[in-house]
Amino acid sequence: MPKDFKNISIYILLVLALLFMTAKSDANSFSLSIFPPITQIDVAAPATIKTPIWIYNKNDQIENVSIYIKPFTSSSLGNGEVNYDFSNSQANRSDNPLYQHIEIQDDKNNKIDHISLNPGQNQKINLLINVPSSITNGDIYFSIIFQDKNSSNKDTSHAEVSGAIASHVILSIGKRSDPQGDITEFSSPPFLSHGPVHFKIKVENNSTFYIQPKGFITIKNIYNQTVGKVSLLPVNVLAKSSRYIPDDISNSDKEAIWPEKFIIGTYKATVAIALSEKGPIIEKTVTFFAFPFEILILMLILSLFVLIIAKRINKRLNRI
Amino acid sequence: MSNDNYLLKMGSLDTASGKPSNDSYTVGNTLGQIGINTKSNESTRIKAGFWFVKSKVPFSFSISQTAIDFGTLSATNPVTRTNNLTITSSSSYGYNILAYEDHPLSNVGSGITIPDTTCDSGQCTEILSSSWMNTLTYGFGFRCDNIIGTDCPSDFALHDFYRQFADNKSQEKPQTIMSGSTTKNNQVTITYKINISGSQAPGVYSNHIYYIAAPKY
Repeated sequence: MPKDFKNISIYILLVLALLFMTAKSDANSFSLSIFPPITQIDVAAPATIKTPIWIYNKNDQIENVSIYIKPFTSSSLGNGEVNYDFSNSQANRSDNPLYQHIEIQDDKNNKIDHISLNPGQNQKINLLINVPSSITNGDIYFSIIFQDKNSSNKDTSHAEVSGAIASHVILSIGKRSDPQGDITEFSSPPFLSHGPVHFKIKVENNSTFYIQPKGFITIKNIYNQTVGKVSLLPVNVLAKSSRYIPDDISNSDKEAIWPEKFIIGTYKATVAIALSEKGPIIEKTVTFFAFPFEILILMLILSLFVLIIAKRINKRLNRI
Repeated sequence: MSNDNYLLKMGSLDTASGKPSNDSYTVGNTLGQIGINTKSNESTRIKAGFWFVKSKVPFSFSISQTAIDFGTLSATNPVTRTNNLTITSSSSYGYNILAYEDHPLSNVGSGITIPDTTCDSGQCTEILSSSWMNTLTYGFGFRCDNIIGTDCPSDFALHDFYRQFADNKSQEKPQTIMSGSTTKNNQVTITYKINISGSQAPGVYSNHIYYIAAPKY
């Protein structure tokens, strides 16, 4: 084979090999991190607030992200989940004039509605809120949503998946009066054979501003001795809404759990919740009864068994 | 008052102090403590993150594959495709992922759609799943399977149960398809299933599926 032809062939093969190895994969993915996940702002008008949000592209490809503001409401589940209305993208925002005074800015104070992040890039943006003096009180709740803008063209049937991640803002304007609220539910199973004991506590906030109630459950036995205490997680309860209050340890989103396993007798559990730092404190009590029924049944069965055997032995002895 | 991260200009706002109490109880509070990510003065208070979570762990969401290619569809031959959703949440309150579609799979030119599945029983919706095994049951749906953690809705426990995506065009509300508490890299697999009848017009059908990862507030 002529030498030139051989060299050319090798070069062509090398080029083809390089093309094959570096051919761009058709796979697209999404991976974003944000901090903080929630920002709570209590402010008196007029005020200008500028607070940072960090966004991090964890992907190995450039991430084009659109940024927009979306009001949220609390889910009817009462566990802190949010609801969005995407049926009309403008409807919610135009309800409250304050949204005209909220914008996202880059580090150079330019208003932005999208950002492009290189792989591994960590970027700070700012949330700017100008609260005019005309808005004297009220709460608004919204998310800053970072939405994947990447797209791909396909000539076969497909679903284009777009990821988004939200950072919530709870904004409360004005001086707060005494909060109004109530414990609308405080319950436990009335009869138990053993612990742990699952309590359900629901707080209704009738105020025009969000509250962050704090409290605990005290459990006393029939001798009025305190045998247990469960600290409650200080969750946010939005204005004119209800929410279940879990404990601060178990990771449940709806129940406060007393982890004590061996319990016997009548117990009285009292929940005391302060709706704010200034109070008021509201209380409710529930009674439950615990008895190790399974152990009792087992003991009865064993006793019966022993009795039957004893009787039979006795009968045989009598014959003898 | 300002620094690199915060600019505060404010009017006046009375703040509370002390511990609320009644005859029986005194409940402690942390007002006035300048903790991590908290800026405060007499008129404005900003708390970034959850004050009782001391670390700055970010909230993260990943999708393994954003282009779900069903290829060329043929009648009564169900096609399934998968991708993975991964979440890391430091929030003690937890998180949830809402999902919806902009409209049912549709052909851009003709406007003809592949409807969302109602499953074998005709009963599954965007809220409730049902079994979908019959190759003569048509439509588009999805299911969720736990890979790490148990964050899929419990109605997907049976392996052939599917739901529709909430259809934004019909004003159906986005639905939670994954939720949990404080978690590191919990992961689920979403299976997308499509099956068409012999009378479905040939063509390219597409839509947009949106997943929004939101911390609980």
